Amino acid sequence: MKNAPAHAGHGAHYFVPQPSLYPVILSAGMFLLALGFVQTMNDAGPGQWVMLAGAAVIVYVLFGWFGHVIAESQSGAYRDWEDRSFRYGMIWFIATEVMFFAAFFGALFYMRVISVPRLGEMMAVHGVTLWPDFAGTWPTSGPQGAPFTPMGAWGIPALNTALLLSSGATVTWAHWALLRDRRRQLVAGLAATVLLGAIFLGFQAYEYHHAYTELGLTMGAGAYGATFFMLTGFHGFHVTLGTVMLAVILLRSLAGHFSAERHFAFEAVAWYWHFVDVVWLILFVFVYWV
Amino acid sequence: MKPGNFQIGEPMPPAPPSANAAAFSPADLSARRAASRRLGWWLGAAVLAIYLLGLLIPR
Amino acid sequence: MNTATTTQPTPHDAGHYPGGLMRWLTTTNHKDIGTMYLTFSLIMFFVGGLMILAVRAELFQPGLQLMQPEFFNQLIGVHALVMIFAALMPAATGFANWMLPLMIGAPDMALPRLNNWGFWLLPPAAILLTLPFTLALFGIGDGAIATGWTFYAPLSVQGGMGVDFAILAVHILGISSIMGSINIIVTIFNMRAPGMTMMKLPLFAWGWLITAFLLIATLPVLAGAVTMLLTDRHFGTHFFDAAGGGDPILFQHLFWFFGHPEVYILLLPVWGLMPHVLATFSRKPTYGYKAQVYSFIAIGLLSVVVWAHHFFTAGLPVPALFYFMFSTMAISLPLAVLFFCWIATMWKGAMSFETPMLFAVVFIVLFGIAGLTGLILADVAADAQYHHSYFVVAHFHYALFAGGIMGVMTGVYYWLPKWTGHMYSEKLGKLHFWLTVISFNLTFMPQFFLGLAGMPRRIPDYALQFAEFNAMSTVGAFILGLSQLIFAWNIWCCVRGGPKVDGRVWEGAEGLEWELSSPPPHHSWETQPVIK
Ligand code: HEM
Ligand SMILES: [Cu+2]
Repeated sequence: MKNAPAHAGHGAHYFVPQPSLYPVILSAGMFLLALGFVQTMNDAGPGQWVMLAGAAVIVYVLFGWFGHVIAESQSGAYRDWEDRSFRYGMIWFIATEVMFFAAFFGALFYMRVISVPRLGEMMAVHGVTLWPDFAGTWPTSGPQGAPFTPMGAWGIPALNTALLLSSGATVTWAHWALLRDRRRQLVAGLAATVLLGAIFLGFQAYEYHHAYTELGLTMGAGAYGATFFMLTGFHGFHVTLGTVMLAVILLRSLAGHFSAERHFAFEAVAWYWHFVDVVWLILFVFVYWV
Repeated sequence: MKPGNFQIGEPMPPAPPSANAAAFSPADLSARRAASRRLGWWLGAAVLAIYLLGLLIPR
Repeated sequence: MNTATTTQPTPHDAGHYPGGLMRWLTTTNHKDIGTMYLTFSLIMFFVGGLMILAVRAELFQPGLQLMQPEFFNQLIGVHALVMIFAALMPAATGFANWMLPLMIGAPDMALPRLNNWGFWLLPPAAILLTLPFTLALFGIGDGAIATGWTFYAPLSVQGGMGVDFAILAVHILGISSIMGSINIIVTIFNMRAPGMTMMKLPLFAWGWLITAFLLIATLPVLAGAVTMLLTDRHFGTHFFDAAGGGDPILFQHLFWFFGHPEVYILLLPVWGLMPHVLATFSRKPTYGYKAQVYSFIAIGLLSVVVWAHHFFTAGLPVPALFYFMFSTMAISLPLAVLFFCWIATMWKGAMSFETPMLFAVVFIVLFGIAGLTGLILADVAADAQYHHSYFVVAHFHYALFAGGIMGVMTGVYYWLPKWTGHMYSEKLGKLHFWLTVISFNLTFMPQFFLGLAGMPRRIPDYALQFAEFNAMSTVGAFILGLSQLIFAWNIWCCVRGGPKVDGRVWEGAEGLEWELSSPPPHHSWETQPVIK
């Protein structure tokens, strides 16, 4: 009974990578980044330099580690069994990202639906309040906040919505092309997606500038300012990451990587991009529009 | 087969007596089975008694 | 018979693995990583323990004896963060790393390099957490986080740089746990031996699967919450400040949306382990496998919708109070199913009482006390009296020490011979067990009475009427702390040597992990077994 039959399981040998130093170096880089950040925030020593060192280490690892993985992938080390692990892994990673954004949306809804209206009702309901003039309507910078102009939905934000939606289409087009082995269209689709992402970021930078210099809309603009910048800011950060990842995929496509059968990295980035897209739609509705 | 149990290939043979654990004779094992069964009933009775006692305490 | 399966030579075993320190820094092997997690956990268990012994020493008598209140507050907060994030969670992850591949017939964890990263994030985070103590000695900053482990705003918004350190430590610990969880989910879904359907999965794997889902659902929310805290502290936002339209209660919602599931995250791996131990030493199959699986799932689902029972007194609307009271109490139903299954597993079993079994049996009793006192706290009207008192402290130590840490000890004694190939000293094990159980109760039982009598928690000084119980508790705590040296010594000796054990170790043990030699070969289940 001991000799497990030769047809065992997937009939395959699972790829367990060789020992690697990258994870430890990455952790060290993150430690430096965190340490430098605390120093900077508290004016305790040369924080910026520590942060810079940490960031440099992290960038080094990103190149090294991902480069290593790409080389492994090109050498055919990953087959169906490993591929499935990566797919499950990416799906659950995106799930954690969903919950991260959920925290900020939760804060937004809590303020809009519960805490801000309550603060406004204090006078009417309890006959007491520090701030009798506070109406408790949205958007607000709070009872003691400075006046500001909220960001309208139908200017740049609407344009950005169109940009991101079309980028979702172009990346799908590129996927299609990859499945049919049309390399030119693959490259064109990816390039268009990267471009659309970059334009989106450009517009957002402009919008932030506009908010700070002309609308009085800052991080400090109470509940509205805090949720506005936190949600759009983290979203923008994710768009930046997504754009960089798409650019890598673009370069790899140019280098002839990926086949119609085996292109996990492409799909992972595409999933990520769609996720960022969906977050934007929710954000557009609840932060800019209603 | 029962969930949570395993067979590799064919049914597993009964576990060989482990060298480290104290080896129990069949008589000893059945005595232990009887003991745990008795204790179960006793504990059950005790819980029931506490429950009934609780009903008597005025609130 | 147990060794034959897995010793086929593999192309990798050619011996080009680094040795010494490099082995541990670079390893991608689930056993090495599991060992590192468990070692780290044990070290941090002593670090967190030393902190709280200082606290207990301060509380030995009324009046300020040894330290300033600020330092006292730092100790309790860092103690809790260390114990939860650096002792208990890594111990459970260490178990998962070591045992899951053996139990489900996998060659390794699914994502080995990520696995290594998950571990190596822990030491930096532990350093960040404890560094501010050291910095304060050199006059930099005012010490570690002094808000307790809950980070409540506005205190945490006003606190010093210890809060920043703690926030970043939590971020890094969070990333580590997320990586571990993803790895475990993928391993369970993708690496099971052929024929091992989900309903043949060992209960330990089921417990960890639900744990991993809970971590994925809730840790990012904690990350978001402490990020908002960070921007409130340094970038001028007003999430938790009513003057800007924010609300300090918002922080409590966000924190406990993570915090309550966290207690199940800490315990589900132990609940998964218990049936294995109970079945082994009762020489009887687990009772109610399916019932336990469904209970795990039910508890997992319920645990994310009950969070506000931690701040009943903060001023919630009455309908919300009712909802959170009843939903919280509902959790005790699936929990009761588990208790029933554990007891029924032993009933009519030919029980023998080796150290792991002793811990498992006592776990049922002491964890039962945790659950019952939890029900009392879940009662909104009663909680108005007990909230923030020592009653709560006693409740969660019955849950986390007796349920969590003693559950981990159960697992360590149960699996140590498997990991090392040696038997630990049963004599020392039993001594450790009895000292731990007695001193644990001596430490925490009086705290129930202190809480009922009205002693608030998180306070370095107290009224005279609380003196006797506090003295008892401190004596208990020191015995408890010292007893753990026996535990560490026993482990040390067992790693170094001792009577050899065979693959099965315990005569009643069932499952794939016991089919391998003890210790298992470096690469286990290179060829997957087939489950019928
Ligand atoms: C039927 C089961 C349980 C119920 C009904 C329950 C209920 C409660 C309630 C209502 C509180 C809040 C008390 C207060 O602050 O006023 C509480 C606190 C706590 N419980 Fe439980 N609990 C249960 C099981 C557990 C378990 C299994 C654990 C851990 C593994 C646990 C860990 C904690 C912790 C750590 C706290 C205090 C957190 C803090 O304020 O720092 N509980 N419990
Ligand atoms: Cu809770």
